[in-house]
Amino acid sequence: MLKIGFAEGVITPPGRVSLSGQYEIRVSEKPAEDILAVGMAVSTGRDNLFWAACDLCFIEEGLLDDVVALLKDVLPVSRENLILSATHIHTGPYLSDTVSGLNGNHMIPEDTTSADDCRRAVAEGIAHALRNAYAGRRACVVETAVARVRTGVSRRIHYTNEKTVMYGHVTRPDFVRSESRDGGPVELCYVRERDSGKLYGVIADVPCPAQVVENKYYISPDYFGVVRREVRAALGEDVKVLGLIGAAGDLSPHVLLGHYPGEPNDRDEDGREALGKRVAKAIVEHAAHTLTRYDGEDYAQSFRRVRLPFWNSTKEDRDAAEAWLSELRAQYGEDLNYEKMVREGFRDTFRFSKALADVERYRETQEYFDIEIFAVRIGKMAFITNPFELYSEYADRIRAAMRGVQLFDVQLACGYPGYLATVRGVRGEGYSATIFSGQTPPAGGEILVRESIEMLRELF
Amino acid sequence: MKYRIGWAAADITPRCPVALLGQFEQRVAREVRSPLQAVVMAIAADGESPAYWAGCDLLYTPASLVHDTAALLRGRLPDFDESQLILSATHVHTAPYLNRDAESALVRYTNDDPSLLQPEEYRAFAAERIADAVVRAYHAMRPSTVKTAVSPIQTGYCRRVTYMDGRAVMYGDVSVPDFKTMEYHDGGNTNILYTFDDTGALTGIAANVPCTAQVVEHKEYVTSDYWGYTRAYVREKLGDVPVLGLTASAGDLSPRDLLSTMPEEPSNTEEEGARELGERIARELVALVPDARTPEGGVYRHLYRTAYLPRWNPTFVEYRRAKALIEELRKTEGEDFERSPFTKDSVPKFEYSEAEVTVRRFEEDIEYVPAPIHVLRLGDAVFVTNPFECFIEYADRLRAAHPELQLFDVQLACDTMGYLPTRRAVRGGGYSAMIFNGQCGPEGGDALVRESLELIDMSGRDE
Repeated sequence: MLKIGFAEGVITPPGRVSLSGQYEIRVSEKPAEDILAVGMAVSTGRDNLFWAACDLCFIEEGLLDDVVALLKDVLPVSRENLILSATHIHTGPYLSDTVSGLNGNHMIPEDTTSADDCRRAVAEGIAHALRNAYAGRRACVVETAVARVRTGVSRRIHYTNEKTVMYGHVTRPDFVRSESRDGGPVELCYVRERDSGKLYGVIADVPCPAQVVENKYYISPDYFGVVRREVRAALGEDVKVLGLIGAAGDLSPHVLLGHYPGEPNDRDEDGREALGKRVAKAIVEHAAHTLTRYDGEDYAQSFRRVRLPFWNSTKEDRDAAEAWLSELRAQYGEDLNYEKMVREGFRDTFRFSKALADVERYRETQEYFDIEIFAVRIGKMAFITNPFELYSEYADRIRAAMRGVQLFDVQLACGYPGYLATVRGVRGEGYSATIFSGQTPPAGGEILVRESIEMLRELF
Repeated sequence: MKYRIGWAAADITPRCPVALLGQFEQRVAREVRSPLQAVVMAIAADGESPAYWAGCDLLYTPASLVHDTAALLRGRLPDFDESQLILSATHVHTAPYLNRDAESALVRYTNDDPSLLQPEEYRAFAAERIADAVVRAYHAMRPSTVKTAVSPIQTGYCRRVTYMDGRAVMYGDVSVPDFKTMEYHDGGNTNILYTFDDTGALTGIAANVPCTAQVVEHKEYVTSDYWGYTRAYVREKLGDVPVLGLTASAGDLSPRDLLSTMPEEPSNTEEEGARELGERIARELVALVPDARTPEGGVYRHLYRTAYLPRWNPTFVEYRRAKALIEELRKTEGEDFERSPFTKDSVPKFEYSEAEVTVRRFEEDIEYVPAPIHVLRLGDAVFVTNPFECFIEYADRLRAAHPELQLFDVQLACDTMGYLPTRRAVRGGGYSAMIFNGQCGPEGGDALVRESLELIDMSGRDE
């Protein structure tokens, strides 16, 4: 019998926190709203699954081990049944001490909460959520719906010179189009008590990363905080929302095309409110009009480690990068201190980042790396995870191959190998589609699609 | 800003039986499921000549219908000029033919059953009904105000599927292994205009939806598709408030989500799908009334231009190839096969149509074609029309250039010039991006954008 439980855990670290998600140092200036991990525990008698959707920018691999270590004595949990996914807020903590920015600054200043302490607080919050979710499992049925509302929109802008720029200006006279589709519909799953029909959990897969207020200097769960608040108010205080992000490497909540006077600012609190309320409205409206109902008798889950090609640079790229960096050294000094270079008028950040990566990735002897993928089936609904900021085209291909299955594709789960751009994306270049933005080139995307489809088909 | 605004509606439902326009095969309707309407808004700032906008439940509104309607209005309205009249289509595929001839045999009227309502007969009927409604809207003009709103619901979806070899197919199969991605993005926001009389009562709604009304496009009955359901819902909730349905650029869109449709959702080819979409739009129209904003800026202007756009003409090599194909078909299908080319399955529809139009275009040697463009500015809310099934990329470019405006872009207005595909689309080919599908190609699209932007800029300048 299918049993599912939900619970929340606060993962806000104590003190002033260096915020993850931008290239400059940002320290939280004020306590705003708590960030959460929403835990879901699933049991069938044969399988157990633990899923925590976390208000974080991404999931560091070490965090998975931390959570397993905290729970392994009390719950049947392992790396092979634990999914941690991120809502991709840019207003949460760094969890690793080894992060350095392009400007040579260590991103975690001395006078802020250490990364170790942040990670401890986050791991404990997640463990708390999963423990309580497991303890609160109830015999249930699940229902699904599809909300046809716009959330994430394409953020890569294409110009007549065949180049693409993330958040490029559309008012330029050489603007041609956005590179990709916008996000598709919001996939919804409602979990109700089997006997009473009482709703107690919602799974919402939104193709839009939670980064409306990504430039702010405070801790915030971004729009998912609003979603949770509004859903609680409309559907009941104990209804939890597991917030998942569909493939959205090339999408964001920032509207580039289709502005209109009087619209909420999609980089500020009113935009966060508007988007959160839009998603919450979709959840609330569809709660009474679901399309399907499953009792979980055909539940199945699988886990796979998949080997992908590492994005190494070519000798030509390395040589060109070395030559250019030599010129820069002659002009700006041997240490190539980015901050100093900028003070002296240097502006070519993108090329500089790529050159550093071309040198480093040529030196790198690693040819492959592994990622973890989970697939879960309930009735004609399925979940498939990936660890990337995944360009939406890849998820479209998986979805297209699984006609008749309602697919919840979930990015930024169980690790963070960066962006996974498409062939078209790489051809247009720009941030998110170049060697320094991700660990695998489009060839890795092809493998990801193939393996994901194979895993899903095995479950059906 | 104070306006004078009036509304009226005309029933333009044909008598049955009647042949239906919009598919390659000839369909005859013997029943009416929901009436066809032309909803008219007459609008002017104090002291200005009115613009008359009729949104019609038709596949398109050809220039002949505009001319016929205008002819009926001369003398009935003071100082009337045809440039004041905008006829746009909701693009239902379940309404009658308006013309007998067409450049491509695919959309030519070929039915020889005299008992059917004939295209000329219907056009005269529709023109008369629309003209009457325009006159009534004129006489109903009262001191009014306007407000606008924006809805984020998804309506139209990309219908061009691309494959690994670079090919594009309208409504292509996405479940095949060589599926790559959709060619471009889905429809954007729905823009809404509300009008109120001087007592503050809501008097009408114009809804600019990036989704053509073709959910039940294959049916053999007359229907207004999803707009009938939208109007019925609005009437139920708000009373007798007319809804002017305006289709935003959607040449590469349709009501069908090819990627994410669940079998349990209402079928997007049946009445239940038309109802779901129509009522989804209507719920937004009703819900957003309290949140609507008053457009800023005191400018009212209605501008009209006939833009001459480069015609999509074939090269000599394409012409020779097309001639050869037709000669070959004459040998295999008989000398007179072109009188009714698609009665035999052995004549390939798209290849023949492409060849037929290629030969005709080359021999006509017309380099530019006239395209009517209207711009109606109500402060920072601006309506701009085009006569195409316009690929959404072109509307994106208009919107991109004017982030300070709320842009209502309206396709299929005041003529029917076919699809207007993009460069990317033409490279992928397929129906809607071939020469026989439209008068203009991507060069025409670039020119349309330029001309439209110029007109929008002019509309914002102080006189």
